[in-house]
Amino acid sequence: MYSWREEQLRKQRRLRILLIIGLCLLVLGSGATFLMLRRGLPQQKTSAASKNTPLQNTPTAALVNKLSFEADLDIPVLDELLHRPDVLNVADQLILSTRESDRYLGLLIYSQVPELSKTTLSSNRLEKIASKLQDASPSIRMYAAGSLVQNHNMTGVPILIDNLTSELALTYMEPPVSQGEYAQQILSNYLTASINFDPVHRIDTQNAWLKWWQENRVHYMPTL
Amino acid sequence: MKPAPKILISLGLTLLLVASAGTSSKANTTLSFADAKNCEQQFTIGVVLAFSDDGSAAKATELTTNWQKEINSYWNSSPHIILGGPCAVYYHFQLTTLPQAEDCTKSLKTGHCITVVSSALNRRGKIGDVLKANPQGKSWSYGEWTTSLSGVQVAYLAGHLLGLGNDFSFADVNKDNILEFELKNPAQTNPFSLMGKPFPANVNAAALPEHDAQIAALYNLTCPAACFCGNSKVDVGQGEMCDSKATPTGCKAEETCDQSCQCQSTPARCGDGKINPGEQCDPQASPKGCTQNQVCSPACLCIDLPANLQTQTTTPVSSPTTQVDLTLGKPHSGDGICEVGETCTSAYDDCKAVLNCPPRIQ
Repeated sequence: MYSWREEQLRKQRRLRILLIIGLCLLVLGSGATFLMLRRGLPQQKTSAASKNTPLQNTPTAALVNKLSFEADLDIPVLDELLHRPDVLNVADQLILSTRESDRYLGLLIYSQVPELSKTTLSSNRLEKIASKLQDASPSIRMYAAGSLVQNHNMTGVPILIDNLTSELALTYMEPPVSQGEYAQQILSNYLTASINFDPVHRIDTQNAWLKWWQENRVHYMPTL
Repeated sequence: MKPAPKILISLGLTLLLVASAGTSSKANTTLSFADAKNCEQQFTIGVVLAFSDDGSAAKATELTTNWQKEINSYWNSSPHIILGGPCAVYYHFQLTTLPQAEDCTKSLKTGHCITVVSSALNRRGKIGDVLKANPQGKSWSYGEWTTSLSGVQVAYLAGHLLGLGNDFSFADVNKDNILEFELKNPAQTNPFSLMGKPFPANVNAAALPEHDAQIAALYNLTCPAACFCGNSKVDVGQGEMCDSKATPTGCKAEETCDQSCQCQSTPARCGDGKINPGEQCDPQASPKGCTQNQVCSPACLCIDLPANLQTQTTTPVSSPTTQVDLTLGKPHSGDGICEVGETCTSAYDDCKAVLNCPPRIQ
């Protein structure tokens, strides 16, 4: 016959055991998560997004994994990928990836698909792009700025003008160009100004754009 | 080096025919030096441009002309010696346009075809792209170029049409999850590799000898052995024993280097500087082989001087008879040359004038 006190002691013991088991699981779980995160760094060949999200095993994810980002070789894969019906949903996940190439691909999809499918991006997606204006990668910041302008949102214009003087190479672009040249490419095609890019006197080009933007920005109010 | 008479080998579609006659030439994807006489070849790469929208179509003529000029300028700024020489190739990009209503669908069956758009970026988000040609698979390339491409940029893209890859890569150099542009050969700066750093627009970039080597490998080019003979080098690997323009030629003293760069033993002959069997002397030898009172005739015979010209009387070691060979090429009376024993030289006069010819100076 158990006394009330013995019953209490047994309950406490069970609780302690459960607590210890819980702590062990927590430690193991944290370790596993840490390892998974480490594995997700860009040195890996396969896409982080496709590894850790429901993208896995979908035809679209398979296409994402096929991309090598060897600029001249990805044409057929990109053509197929950009026409997948779920490609914008894929971009939603790619843009959150820790891998720079995934984020680039997400931005590329956000930039190109609206024009290809004659649609417009939702404000939610435009905000996702805008959040990449502060990305750690200079190339991603440039692509984010360019993507916004391509989607007729001028929030990216100051970033592009700022980088007109940059001689840093823009990753993933074909042919390879400097960030300054990419900025000029977007600005000159989406704004009405006619300002030539002088690769030798980039500062002059930048000043000309700055002046023009200050005078004309009212006509291009950002929508965010 | 100036292009020799060239055999045009089409890599792409020769669109001149498409535009003018509506028919296409049979494209040939191989570049070879099958004709051993032509050590210099022109490599013609036909590229069709399909200007797909009104904005690009408005610039079609201007862009086609300018791009062709720029591409050919970058790809032929210096001679392209392949396989270490002496064979050379010249790249001739021939750009032609399709009528605006046509796209690349048909043209791609017979050659490279590029769509040109007037937007800032093409549908894949690039300023221009080309699927790298695969000469082994004999596939045609396609891509999409924007009208804003500069000369150096189209020349870079044309490199992909030849089958060349990039001389750069994107690598996480700083281990910070951010890829950096990295030249495969950072030491190559002046000029930069056209396939490595075609930016900014005013960069000094050029096609390099290693690109020619890559193209030679891609197209399995070999330089005919005949092209090596006479290049002042003995190319043993090409089967040469010698080269007549090399110093030394590569042959032994008694040999000569023939037109196929092979050493041939030289047959003995009168006048070769040696007294060969059957000869009494040799006018080119030293000593000539005759006694003091003899001269060596062009027939390699020792001939006694007339008594009045002999400085002293000696008994010759050998006593050749004074016989003059009357066969053509040997000295004889009337041959226009004063020979010992003759009193005149005319073949037509009757030698009335009595003049003793002095001995010929050997």
